[in-house]
Amino acid sequence: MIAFTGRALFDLLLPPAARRTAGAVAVALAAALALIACVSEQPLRAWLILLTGPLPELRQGADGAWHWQRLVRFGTVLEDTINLTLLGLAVLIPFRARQFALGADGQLFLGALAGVAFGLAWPGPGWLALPLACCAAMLAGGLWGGAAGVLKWRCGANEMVVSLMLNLIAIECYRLAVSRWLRDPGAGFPATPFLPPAAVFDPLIAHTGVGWMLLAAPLAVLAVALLLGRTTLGYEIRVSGAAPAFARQAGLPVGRAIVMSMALGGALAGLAGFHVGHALLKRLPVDLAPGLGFEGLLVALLARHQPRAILGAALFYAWLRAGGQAMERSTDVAREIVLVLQALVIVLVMAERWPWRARGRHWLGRMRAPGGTSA
Amino acid sequence: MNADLLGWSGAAVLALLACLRAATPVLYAALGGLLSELGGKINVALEGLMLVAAFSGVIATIFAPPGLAPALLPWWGAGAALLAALLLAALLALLHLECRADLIVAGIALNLLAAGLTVFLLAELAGDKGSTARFATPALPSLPIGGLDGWPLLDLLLNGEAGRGHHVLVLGAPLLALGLWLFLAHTRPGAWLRAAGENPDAAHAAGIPVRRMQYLALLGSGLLAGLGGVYLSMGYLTLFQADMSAGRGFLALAAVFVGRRSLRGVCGAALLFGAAGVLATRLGALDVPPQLLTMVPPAITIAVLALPGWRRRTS
Amino acid sequence: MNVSPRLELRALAKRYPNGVLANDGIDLRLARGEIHALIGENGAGKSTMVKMLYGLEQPTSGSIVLDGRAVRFDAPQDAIRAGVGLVPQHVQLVPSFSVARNVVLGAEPARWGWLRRGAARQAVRDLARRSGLALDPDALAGTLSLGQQQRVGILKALYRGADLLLLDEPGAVLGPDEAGALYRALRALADTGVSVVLITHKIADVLEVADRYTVLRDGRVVATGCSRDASAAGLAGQIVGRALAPAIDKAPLRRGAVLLRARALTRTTGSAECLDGVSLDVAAGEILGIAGVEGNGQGLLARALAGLQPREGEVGLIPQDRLHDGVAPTLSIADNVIASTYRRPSLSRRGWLRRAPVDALARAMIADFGVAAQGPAQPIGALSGGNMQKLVLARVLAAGPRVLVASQPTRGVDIGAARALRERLLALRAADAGIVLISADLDEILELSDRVVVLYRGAIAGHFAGPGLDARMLAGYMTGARRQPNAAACIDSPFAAAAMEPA
Repeated sequence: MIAFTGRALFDLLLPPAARRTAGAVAVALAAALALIACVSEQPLRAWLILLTGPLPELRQGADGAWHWQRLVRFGTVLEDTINLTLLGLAVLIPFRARQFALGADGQLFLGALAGVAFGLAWPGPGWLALPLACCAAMLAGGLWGGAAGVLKWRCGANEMVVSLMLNLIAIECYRLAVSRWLRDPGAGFPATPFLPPAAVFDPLIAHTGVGWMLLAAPLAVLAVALLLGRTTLGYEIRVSGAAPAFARQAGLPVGRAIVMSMALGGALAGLAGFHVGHALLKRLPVDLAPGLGFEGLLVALLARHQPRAILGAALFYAWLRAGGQAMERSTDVAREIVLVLQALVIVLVMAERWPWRARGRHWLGRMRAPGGTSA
Repeated sequence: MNADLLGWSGAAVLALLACLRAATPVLYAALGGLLSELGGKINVALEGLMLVAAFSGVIATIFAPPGLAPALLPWWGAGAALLAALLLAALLALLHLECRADLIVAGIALNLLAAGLTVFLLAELAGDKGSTARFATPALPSLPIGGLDGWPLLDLLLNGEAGRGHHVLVLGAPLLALGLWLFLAHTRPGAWLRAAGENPDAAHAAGIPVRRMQYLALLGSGLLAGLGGVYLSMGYLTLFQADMSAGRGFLALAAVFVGRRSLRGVCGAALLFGAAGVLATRLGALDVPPQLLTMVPPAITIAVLALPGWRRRTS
Repeated sequence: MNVSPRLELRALAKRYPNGVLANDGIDLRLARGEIHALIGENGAGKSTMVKMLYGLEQPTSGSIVLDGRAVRFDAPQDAIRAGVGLVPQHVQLVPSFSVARNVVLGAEPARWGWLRRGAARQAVRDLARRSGLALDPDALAGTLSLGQQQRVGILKALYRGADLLLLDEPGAVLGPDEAGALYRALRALADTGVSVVLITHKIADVLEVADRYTVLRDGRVVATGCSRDASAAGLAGQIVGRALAPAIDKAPLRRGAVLLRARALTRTTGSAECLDGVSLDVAAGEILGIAGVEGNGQGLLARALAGLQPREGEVGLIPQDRLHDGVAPTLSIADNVIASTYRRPSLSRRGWLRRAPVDALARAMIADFGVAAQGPAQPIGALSGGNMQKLVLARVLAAGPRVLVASQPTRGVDIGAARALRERLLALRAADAGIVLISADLDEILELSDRVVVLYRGAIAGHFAGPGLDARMLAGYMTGARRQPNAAACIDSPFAAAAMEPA
């Protein structure tokens, strides 16, 4: 009886599809502990800080009132979650159309550039600055993503290599623009000037970059879920991805669906760039680090390309990253171990089968029925 | 040998040498990419393989056994680097061939794993997250070729500007390309590898161990990319920096596509990409933005990939 | 001369784990230097027998005897070692390698790993000369015609020392000239002592090149003998074996106006499959049956017809390859059935799908067509073949086509569902639609069609009236033994004189 309810509860909380992911996460965390133990004097403490570091604390201050502490670090969790959610969705939409588009990095850079360029140059009313800059960013990212889609549709060019190459071009364009045309002469390092206050998000949590863009993450997830599930374009994208020959034979516009899927992905990556420029950094340095797009890919993979799981996966990765920073600050373990953890989770999730488990079952079967022939 | 005395031909040779030096790491990785592509398994983890090799070489020389002769130190490092690259490539092969993971996703994941692991271990073992600059790590030797006093141009070509000879890996790159060609065209394992890549069904029907050939392709490409990584940290620069490979692995992958899976094409593409990099720095002195030139290799790659399909549509 | 035959099969039988009895007590004898044709329809059990001879399958009972000794092949390597070589229908080659390198692939002459290209080339040249198969050893495999590729396949088997060749439907991919050249080469090979088992469904193969033949039907041997004594009509009768009357009640024909006109349809592809000047009409209220063995251009005809514009309405197509073109297996039933009609105002408005009408439509289709499914959200790939095909038909019909091209509509479908599908087609016919039924199932064609056309090598071999037609009349046309000159299926085209030769 207890076993039965226990099993029922287990099935409810952890449906079969999520079981593999949960298992992978558990194994990866255990492996992280092992790795930390190799390099640290106090591995357990370091590991626990990794896991709980980002949590804000509620502490009673000297004046007797309760205050939230360590909100800044929690703020970085939220900022990263927003970025990774948008970037994960940017990979997810083309993937549903069976396109392996890796261009999110370049689209992010171009989106940030377009948004900041617009914000710096906008002469008109202040309240329009942010919405229009947002549109500019999404348009830039969308066009760049659509370009890869058009090349695939019209010329059959491998979208993975083309999007990787477009990444490199976009990043160089960004560096060129920031170091030459948008450069702030008064800055000590190559960067754009600071954005005017009207074109910047005010923080909701003090000293963080968390602003109203916080809503962008769940809204984007909802929008993508609605797009894929309820619209005709989303339907075309899904069918083109699930069975391209069938889609073509039934008369669906497969080429257009591919281009639109990559353009929409690009727009979301551009939005992430807008977030980086206008909410987080408020100016663009020339040495903005590439690579966030690939983390978006990992988030999408972890979420198994389901929009409703993207937020959770993004939160998980963002949490790990902040935890790593906390761990680095308090112990002797470098925070890059988080990257190892992230990659390890993906490796475990991706493996379709485990040869030693299958071989173990085979041996087990043979032990049970010695000398018997297979059925 | 004073290059100025040789005028234009001397300048041309120097330019060629600069291109060769810049292209060497990309060329090694591109040869590795070509090998795995001909074996039917595209390797997108070239970036991570180079990084892991570059890192392991330097770290191995820092933590070398104390009794090791100084002349052997760089070779010890190179050996460790190649071993590390082989291990990473083996992980990729296992994930794809045994655990049925998607090859491209596995490659990207291993790239990220390599990036994180190298910086993590750099911080832990060397105490500095940026680079190993505070350690004096050796480079692999340069090999001068003597007896060329009578042919100044040839001497310049083979011994470089300062007459000290070229880095052993720079000399090794064209030799390795030749060796790879001989392997693929004239040996039985090479023929089997190509057959397994082009038509696994035909190879299987002919009794060729296709799985073994695929392992060979991936491990071999790891080894070659590792050589590229060794050159990065034990060549002209003798240290390891975070993100040292800086996209060269992806350029190598692009070179494989631009070169259309032929050895000559891939070598040509790698040289072209190297030339673009060199040109970028030279023209940078003339106030031409270097970014314009670094955009050229990716643009060429896109053009090469798009052109056949476009021509097919308009024909 | 009391020499044991090169190959002997004694009561060979194979029952697959799913219960299908593919071969049932087959006896066969093959002498050295004999060309033996194994002939039968699709599904008669030929390929199962060949798989057992090559070690790809193992018999459940009976024995294979080579040169008087019983053998057991657990893997192709055993068969190769015993001198058995298989030349599959589609020979697998490495396109960028030369002919010589393909022939020696896997067993290249080499010294410590270094290829001896010259030795390979010479060996292949000698082999080609000895066996009479003309081939340039340096030609690239990617540039070869299908007939040449097949010769490479034969050389590959011979290079490994085969003296018992199994050829799987060699003529299927060859044009008449290349087929003739192949027969001459096989004859020359047989004269050197090589035994050949030729798996085919073409009567011409039996009459022109084989010494002896065996006819398989439903997994059993129904006839065997010398080719000298065989006749086309007799063979045709043995292969098909029956004269069936249609079982479904068909309403009388009410032919209306011509809906679809196709004139001189011609298509070429890389393979030998082609369309060669097919002209046909489809009128309202009739079913035009296209009979023929697979690979004679049916797929091309279906696609060509689906691309034409009828006099009114549209052409709907039930594709041949259900899992590839007919459904999206991972998507739900609802997603599948609206693929042709999702843009209609009833199902979507300004880019938004209307969930409730889509759901209702899917439920209605499931009920109407008697599909056994859990609901509209179930992935369509989980259904049986028959249920899937019902939904394919439902989807295509939802678009309201006036002409329907049904390509192999009941293939892989259980009997009950097949009957339901056929009744649907007849109902469509009664509703004045024009139907083109392409099927390799002769029973189906005879049951449903008002007019029948036999397709052979991409052209119409004969045009027949439906009533009174039986399978034996068609068998000769289907296997190329008989041909109606200048046959066409236009509405006023003459019918072939289907008189039977004395058996």
